[in-house]
Amino acid sequence: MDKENPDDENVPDLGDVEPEPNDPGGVLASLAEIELEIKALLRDPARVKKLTAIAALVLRTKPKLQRQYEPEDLLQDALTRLGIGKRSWAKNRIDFNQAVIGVMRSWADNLEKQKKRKDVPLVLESELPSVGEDGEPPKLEELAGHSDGPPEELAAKEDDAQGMAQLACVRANYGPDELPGRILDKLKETSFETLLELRLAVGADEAEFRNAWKHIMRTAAKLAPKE
Amino acid sequence: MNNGKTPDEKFLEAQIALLMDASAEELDEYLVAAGLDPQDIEKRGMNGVKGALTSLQVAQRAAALSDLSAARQREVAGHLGIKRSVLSALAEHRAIVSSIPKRFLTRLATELGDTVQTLSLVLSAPIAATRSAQHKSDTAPKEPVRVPFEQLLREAAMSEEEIAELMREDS
Repeated sequence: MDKENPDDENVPDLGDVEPEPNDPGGVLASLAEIELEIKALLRDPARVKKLTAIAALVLRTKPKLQRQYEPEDLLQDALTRLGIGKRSWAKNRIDFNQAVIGVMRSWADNLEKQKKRKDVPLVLESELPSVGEDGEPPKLEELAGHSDGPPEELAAKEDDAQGMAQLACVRANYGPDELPGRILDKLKETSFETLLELRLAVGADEAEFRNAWKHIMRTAAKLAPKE
Repeated sequence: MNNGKTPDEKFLEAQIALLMDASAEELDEYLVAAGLDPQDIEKRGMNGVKGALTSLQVAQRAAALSDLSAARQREVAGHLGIKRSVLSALAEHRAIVSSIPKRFLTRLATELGDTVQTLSLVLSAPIAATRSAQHKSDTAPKEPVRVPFEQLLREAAMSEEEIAELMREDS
């Protein structure tokens, strides 16, 4: 974030405000406890591998962000935000892995929204039609109700569409009776507490279930949005 | 796992659960399926963790430097042969780090109990809010800018002799 370095122009400012979930009963970890947890990761490469892989999957859902942000950047920023107290960890509610994953997801969401807002083109007043179909100047309320609404509205619509897109695209690659397709159907229709519940709901044994997921992940990787 | 979520959120959460529950062997299989190189992912992740620890260290040292008591500031400034205002400017990260002579940087690092590398990172951090900007005022505070170290010395009205001595590179 050294402003002397032009390469840092695209680096997100870790001081950016991000809404913190309201958790009145949460017992918050101290900064020293969080630092110890981060140091413990240095001795646990398997856990780091999992968290970084999850960062990669999170970024695949953020087409704008993933152009200039790597999985290790997302992990580093999430750990730093926790370590400097920009985000808290309710240690009586979730373990440290869950806290890191939660921060990675919300931080990536936040950055993607910022990038979308920056990319929405502004419509100048001079570019608006000076007369309507009836030959009269357009009324203010008509302009306000125009489908190209404020950037926030556009971004929200894009988000809604994106929230449906990935699973639907992956699902379209399978027939109605194929196990990967049935897993995705169940996932879409129902809420599960654990993967075991999901596996039992589709009636698959462990090996079949694992192989089906590998298939799904392969398909998702091929279809991942690229900008 | 996924109450009230969009289908894509449920999909992501299922994949997260899958990876978190996986054994080492299963994990590598999933990563390969997802088009990720397991070894590369681990190496990059470890770099991310190390980067986060460096950022924390820098943030802690930056806080320690800006929180020096007035007495300690006077002491450090005295040992270094600079005015206290120069030290305050350094604490607010207002110097262009590459313009600070290595010899001075080494002495400052020794005084503060830091390595030169950590101190350089601390001083390179974004400019901290100046004390004057933290108080209400009738005029809007000027945006602080980084300036060469030598300019800080001149603005502090140090003598040419003192400046020449501080800007000397050799020991």
